[in-house]
Amino acid sequence: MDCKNIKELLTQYSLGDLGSDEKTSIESHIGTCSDCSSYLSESENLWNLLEARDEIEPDPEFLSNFWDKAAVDEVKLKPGFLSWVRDIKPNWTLAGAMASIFFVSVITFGVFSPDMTNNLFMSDEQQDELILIELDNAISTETADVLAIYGAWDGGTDVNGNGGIN
Amino acid sequence: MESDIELMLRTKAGDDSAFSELMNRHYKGVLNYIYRFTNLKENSEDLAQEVFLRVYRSASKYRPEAKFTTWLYKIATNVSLTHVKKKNSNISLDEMTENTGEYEDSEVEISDDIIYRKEMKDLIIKAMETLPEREKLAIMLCKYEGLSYEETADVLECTVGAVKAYVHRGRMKLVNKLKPYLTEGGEYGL
Repeated sequence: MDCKNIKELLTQYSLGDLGSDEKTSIESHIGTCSDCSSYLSESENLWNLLEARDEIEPDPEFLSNFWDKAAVDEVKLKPGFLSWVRDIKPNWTLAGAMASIFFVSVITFGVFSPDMTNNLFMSDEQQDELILIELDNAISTETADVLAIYGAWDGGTDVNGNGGIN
Repeated sequence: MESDIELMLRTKAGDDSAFSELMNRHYKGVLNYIYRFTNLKENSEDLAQEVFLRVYRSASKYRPEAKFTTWLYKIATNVSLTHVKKKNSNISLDEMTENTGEYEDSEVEISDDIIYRKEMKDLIIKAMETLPEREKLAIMLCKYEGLSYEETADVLECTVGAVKAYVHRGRMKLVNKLKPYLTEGGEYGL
């Protein structure tokens, strides 16, 4: 193995993840190659250096904080039957605002409805469909051109009245 | 000692004390995994809580075929990634490395050793930040969380071979970036 191959395996070697054959050939190479030997040493130093990253300690109240959050979460996820109805309070300002928005929307989209053929308004499926239609049109044009040149496959006449392929 | 799976099955059956036990075992690991990934100390606690809330909420669907830690770190990875992606549009790397919240008290006498350690820590953080996401995650899961290649592959949803490649490539890049600090006997050497 050359130095490039050896370096590819040095990570696995230093993690003790190689079979005995590969391990032996790496050890014999390292014994004679100062470049690979110093690379291995740097790689192992790096692995030890990563320990220098600090650790943080959990908040001493982490468990009680968690169970408080879980209790709130449970209430949110499991509202009582029709409990939302009880929370509804008449809010005339909001109702007026929503009615205005509705009115403006009807006027805007009713009179100035956007061009739905624009790609920006299309879903992926609509775009796919458009591509298929374009493809069909292209094939139809190509077919007409072929018919004009060679005539129909059944040996009939083409669009110009010439004889077909025999 | 009960296994994680047994505790999770007890949680599934409605025993909250079993989940507290699971949190006592794994909370610190998850907290530090998130901290190392996001480099944001102040958010790590909230995110760790979110991870365990998601696990707790999903307890009813837990199947013992899945190893608990693999599932836990998969959720922690998703929560961290989502958070980082949201934050990255608003925060620079310098802010991320400065937000560790330590050594801020200028009145404290700082020894050379502490300065060296802080420098090293910042250098490692910056070097790790330059790695592609999967290389960084693979190194973190294998090195810091002690997950096997197989478990890391499950978390990252890739093959064991890919995990080995991520760890190796990431390690090579880190060696190149931190070379002056890795040479024995050099100016910055160990």
